[in-house]
Amino acid sequence: MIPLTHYLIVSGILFAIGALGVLMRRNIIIMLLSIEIMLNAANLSFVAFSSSHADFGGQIFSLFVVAVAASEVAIGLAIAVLFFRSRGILDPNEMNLMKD
Amino acid sequence: MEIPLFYILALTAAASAIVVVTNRKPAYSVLALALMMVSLSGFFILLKAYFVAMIQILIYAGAILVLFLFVIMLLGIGSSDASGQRKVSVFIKMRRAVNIALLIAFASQLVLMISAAQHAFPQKNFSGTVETIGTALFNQYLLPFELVSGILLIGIFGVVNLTQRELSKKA
Repeated sequence: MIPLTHYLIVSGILFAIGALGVLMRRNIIIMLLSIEIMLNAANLSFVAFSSSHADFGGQIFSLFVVAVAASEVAIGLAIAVLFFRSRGILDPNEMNLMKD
Repeated sequence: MEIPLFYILALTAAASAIVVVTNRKPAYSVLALALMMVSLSGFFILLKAYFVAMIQILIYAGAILVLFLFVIMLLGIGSSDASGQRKVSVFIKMRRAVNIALLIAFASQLVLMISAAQHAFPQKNFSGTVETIGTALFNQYLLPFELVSGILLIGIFGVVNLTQRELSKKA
């Protein structure tokens, strides 16, 4: 039997990779994909704890995370498309119209 | 049988996540993320969360990633990261970020390990089928379920508002 800690370690590694992607890439699409990786790592922790405690709450909240991720992706991609149309690039560092 | 399967899935998930983050072309990143979703649903099957595994494939790989692919193909993005002159300075920042992120992850997981070590795992007579998940969802978790529909509604309003403004500006 695989202990719970192994699932938690995999989840932590995936979360770290996703956080790195948000920190080091300069492309809105890749940053959104990295956020998806982080949400999935959290899902894996939820489901692992759910199986460990024999409680369905974790699995149900992982479904809620999927719903939140879907709406976040819809809005994020709409913003990315509008930004790309107005500027022709996807670098979030160029998002400074409100700053100046 | 379970243990080699677990390590194969873990390696696939970590490797494809690294490919997502480091690949130059966003379309390949999306395909690697689809591979990661499939291996995560393998984890869920190992954890006896069959319904969540099915949802993972249907919603994530089937709907969300296809939306990403649509946008990437629609915009025609090849590789639009920052220029190479910036990348040299980014490399040093990247190494620091690696250290910090891994440190945070492992420190938090150590705490979790100590607190979770005493539980028997996985429990007997426990499997997340459609029936058990549905019973819990519509009895115990009915209020959060309804609130999630509010979140989805707000998402729809946001997207329609964003795109509608663009259309009315053109007309």
